[in-house]
Amino acid sequence: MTETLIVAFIVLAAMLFWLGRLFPAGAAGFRSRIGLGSRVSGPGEIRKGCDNCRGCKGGGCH
Amino acid sequence: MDAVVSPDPATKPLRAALVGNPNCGKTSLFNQLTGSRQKVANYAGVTVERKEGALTTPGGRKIRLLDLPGAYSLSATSPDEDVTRDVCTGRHAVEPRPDLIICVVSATNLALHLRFLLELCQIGRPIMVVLNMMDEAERIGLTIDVPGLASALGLPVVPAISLRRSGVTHLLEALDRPDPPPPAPIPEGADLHAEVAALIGRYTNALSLRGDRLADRLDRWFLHPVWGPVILLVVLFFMFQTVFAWAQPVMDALEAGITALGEILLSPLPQGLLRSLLADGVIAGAGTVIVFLPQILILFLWILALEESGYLPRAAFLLDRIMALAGLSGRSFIPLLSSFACAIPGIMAARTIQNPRDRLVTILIAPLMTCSARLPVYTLLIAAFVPHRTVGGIFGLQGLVLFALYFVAIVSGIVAARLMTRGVTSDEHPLLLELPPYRRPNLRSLALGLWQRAVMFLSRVGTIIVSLNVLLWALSSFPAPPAGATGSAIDYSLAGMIGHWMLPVFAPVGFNWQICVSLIPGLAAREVAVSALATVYALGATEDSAATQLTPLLSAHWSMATAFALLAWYVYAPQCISTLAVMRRETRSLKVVIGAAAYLFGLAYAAAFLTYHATLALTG
Repeated sequence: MTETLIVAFIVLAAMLFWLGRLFPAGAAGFRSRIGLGSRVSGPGEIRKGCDNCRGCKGGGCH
Repeated sequence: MDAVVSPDPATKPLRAALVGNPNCGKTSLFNQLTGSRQKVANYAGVTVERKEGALTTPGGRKIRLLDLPGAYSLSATSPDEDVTRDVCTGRHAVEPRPDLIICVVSATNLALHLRFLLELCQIGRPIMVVLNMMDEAERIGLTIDVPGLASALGLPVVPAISLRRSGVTHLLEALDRPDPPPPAPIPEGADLHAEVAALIGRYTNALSLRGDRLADRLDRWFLHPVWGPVILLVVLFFMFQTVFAWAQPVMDALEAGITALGEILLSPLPQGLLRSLLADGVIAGAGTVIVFLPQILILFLWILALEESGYLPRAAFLLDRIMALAGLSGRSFIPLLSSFACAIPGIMAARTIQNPRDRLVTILIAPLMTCSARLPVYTLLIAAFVPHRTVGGIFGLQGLVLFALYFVAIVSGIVAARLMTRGVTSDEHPLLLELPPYRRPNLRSLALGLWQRAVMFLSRVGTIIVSLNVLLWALSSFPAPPAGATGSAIDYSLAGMIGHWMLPVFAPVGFNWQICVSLIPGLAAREVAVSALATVYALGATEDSAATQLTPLLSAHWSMATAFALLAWYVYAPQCISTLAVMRRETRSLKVVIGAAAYLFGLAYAAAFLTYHATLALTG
């Protein structure tokens, strides 16, 4: 039973990760509804101006 | 000008913009000041959009710093130059006019860079001049009377070496001082070239210098109409040979390490769902992709070294004639070259192309350039189906096949561009290329670049690839086979059903249902196809070790025709949704994206079909 729960949890986490990537606006809305509001940008944060795409992670795409 | 500004956290941060000619070191300076790691290289056109960072000076002054694309003048001729002009003149839709313009000038190229500075003086904003690359100026014996130049310009002039942390100390001190007043505009109709020549003659010894003799000697070979292309071909050829030859020992060690780690992790677990998920989903998925890290790093070591050395713009110059055959100009070379790392920055770099038609064609053929995500697919199949032997006693056959795949992609790109531009003459300006000085690649910067690549790759494995493999494992494990089922369990799963539904479409090109399944997650990132194959085959196998032994598994289950057809498919298929999304953003046209996807998938299918049947005919 525990094993099944762990597996279900891992699969659910992977599913949520991809839902967040595929529907970022919906995911952000959902996070704020459950009290996990979007992170506030720090002053030193880099914005590349690519429509808020964060894929670069501070250097090049992906 | 000497009074230090008192720090006041309540005051609004100063908005400063780094402006200057291409390849004068703006982004290096930006990285040094803000601590960020934006891409830099020794050629023009690396930065194509504005970037923003923040810094606090030693005196406590808060500054919001913008890094703008390089421009030769305020009369913009390409989309990236538009951004610089609009921000500087206060016409940008989002970005307010900067409080201070930091004009970065390369000390080694004052004749060109001071002209743009004089033009900037006309817009009536406070300007600070950064005289960058002072170390190189010193190396070639150039001396500059900095106080004299500052006094003649009526602007603060700060010497800097943007590659060193200590090289920006004077700039930080200068930023703590009150902002200079806007400079007096140059009289209407003044000859800026004559003004610059007078400044150079009065405050530098540039006119008495004889230039960089080594650079001239190297250019005589590298830009030679015959030897130049030969050298370029040899460099590229050697690069692909080393991808196989140098990486193999490290790849073997990594593979052994992953197998050992898998055994340690799995041994305490009983047979069941969790063990299957870890073995067939996580370890099989991540493990098979991680082993390609050494090859990817070797490829990037070459790309970074060539970027830093200043050789790449010379290659663009050499290829201008070949680009003309494709109906394009040499200006398309840098965007296409960037696409070898990833098509996304390549498509964005097409902003430097002034002619809209050439820009669109460059964007459309960028996905044909072989991005690094294809490397795991190529090397997996080459290792499984191409014998590990030498040709002519020198060249590795596997390296030759890899080189051929890259070569075919380049030729296909040229042919596709030719077809797209046929009948339409380009009015793109002739290629005027600023050749940067040759520089010995900086070891620290190479190491940092490789480290960034490794972190990016591993974080992709840890997030995108593992999560997709977990989902694929779930799809491949459920529903369970019915009682009395005789086939393999995966045949009855959702993934198995999807694979079998797709099979009629892909059977003519030699793909089996497992390949069909791997193509779907491969849409998120091409290399996921490798980890997906590992998961699908591991679930069908009886031993855990199958997870890390994909190469022998494939050579046993696939025909050579199938493997070569899949290689041909990957040369053309636009299997990366992010690339199509960026294409949509850059062209603002869904029609273009649909057209691009259709022509690339069509090409992929046709190439796979021809390859499959030709190989079948040849191998019997």
